[in-house]
Amino acid sequence: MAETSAQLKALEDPTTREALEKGLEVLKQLNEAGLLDFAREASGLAGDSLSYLLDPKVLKIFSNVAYFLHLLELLEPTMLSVMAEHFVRELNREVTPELMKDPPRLGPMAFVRALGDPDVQKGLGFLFVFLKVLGRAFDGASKELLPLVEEAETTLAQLRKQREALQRELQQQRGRQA
Amino acid sequence: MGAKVLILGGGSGGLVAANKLAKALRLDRGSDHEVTLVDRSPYHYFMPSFPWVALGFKEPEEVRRPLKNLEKKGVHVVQGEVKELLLDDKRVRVDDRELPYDFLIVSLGAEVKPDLMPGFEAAHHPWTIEAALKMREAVRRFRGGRIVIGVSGPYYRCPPAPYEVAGQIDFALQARGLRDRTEIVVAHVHSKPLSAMGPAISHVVSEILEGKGVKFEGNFNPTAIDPERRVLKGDDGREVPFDLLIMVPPHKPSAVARCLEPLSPQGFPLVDPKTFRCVRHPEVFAIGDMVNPGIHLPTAGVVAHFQAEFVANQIMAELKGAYIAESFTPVALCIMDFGDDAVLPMCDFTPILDLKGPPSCGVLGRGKVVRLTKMAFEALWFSLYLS
Repeated sequence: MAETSAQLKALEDPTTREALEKGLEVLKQLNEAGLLDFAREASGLAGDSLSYLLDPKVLKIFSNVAYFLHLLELLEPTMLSVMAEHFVRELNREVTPELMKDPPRLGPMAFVRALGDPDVQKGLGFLFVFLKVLGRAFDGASKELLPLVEEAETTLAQLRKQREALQRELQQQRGRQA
Repeated sequence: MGAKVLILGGGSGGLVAANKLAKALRLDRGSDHEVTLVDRSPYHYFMPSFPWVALGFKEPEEVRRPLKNLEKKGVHVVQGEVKELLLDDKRVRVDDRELPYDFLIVSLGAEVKPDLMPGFEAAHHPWTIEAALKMREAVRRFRGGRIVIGVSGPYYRCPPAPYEVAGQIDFALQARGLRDRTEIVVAHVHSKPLSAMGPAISHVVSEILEGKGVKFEGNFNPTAIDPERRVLKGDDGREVPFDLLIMVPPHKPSAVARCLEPLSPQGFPLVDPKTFRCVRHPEVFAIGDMVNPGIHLPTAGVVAHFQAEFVANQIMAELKGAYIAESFTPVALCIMDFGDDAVLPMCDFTPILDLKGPPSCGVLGRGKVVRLTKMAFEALWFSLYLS
């Protein structure tokens, strides 16, 4: 009772009244636009939507995006930005419309001659560093993944046996019911 | 005459099944069908928040809601202890009464059995609300030394939780200025932190724990606790000394559910993995932690949630002749809160169910904002299912 009278008293306050009037106006507009009906219908979907939102395919996309963002986080921005800037500048200087019209063709002799260019040598050196990193990464990943694959195979073999026994029992049960 | 659906257990699985059926059967508008939920507690507890209770961030009343709230949706709620499943008579003995059913959903979870580990009285844990409050007291009394967080075996509710507890304790002790005087160790049966969830998740969790200076004792299968010498003993002769031991208690499948034969070698009822129906009683469904280790699905509330929806849909299909709704989503997500950092890992268990390979796991997000998601999810959970 005391609570109700306090609430009624609060309504006499001009600031509260103004807020209520504005609120009612917003509700009226939402109702006219049909949004309140939509919210009422949609609220019933809230509980059901979880399993649709958590579809394994969607989750994998999110997980991969999150991982790539994490990788970007790991890259050192100073080195990367300076390197990228110079790379793009050189690319713009070398790759001209003339070059696109008539790109240089390298025969075996020209290929050997090109290897003598100090810039090409640096580029190749860099490429080989990349290849080395790639090889090491492959090695590390194999060492980590192979035991897991073997472990998974053992578990799956046990599960297959268990599933076969279960299927036999299920078939017998269905036979009895039929 | 309508059907009687009986749901045993008011955890994630039971709660979702009751809500789903109440909505689908329009119980609040009057229906011939009856849905009854039985639980020994008058409350549904949001278990992921138990570590927060143990570390003072939440109070017990904040992480629970009365199951009676389901009655607003037309679900009968019976508070009582499930004593026996009388499967041939389609009845369940609850305390001294028998409840009949046409469909039964058993979601009784795994039971916490501290007595199965000798010396467990020397340990604390946040796996029940009462134990979480005792752990809070033990942490309050702690003045520095060695804290060991261990697991009793491979099967326990919420596999990532011990790592979360380690991270949260680190955070809590930093705030009290005790971290410099404390060593934190996680002793686990796995070779690396969360290695069962694959390298992507294991790397992230290991990195966080290393960053916090938490040590890891892997491949450690505990056999007993020596309260006098204050050591945790392993089956390979290793001993892990502690000043404060936080130990996941042994978990066993619910005793009453063991009549749901056949059983897996670990004693979990084996259900049809495509439908979660009991093999010898197809009108009985068993879901959640009570059965999942037997079919190699994780002991996590989210899996019980999706199983409950799918099982409710199957019951609706039998009652209506057809019912088009969700299929089973075999994914598990868990928001891991480390206090000042958080991770949202996910695993898709489709390859395991199809017997094709290990689960496909990844990380959906990391950072403080993920911690906020956990808080928001708790609020969403209560408002969706127990408002």
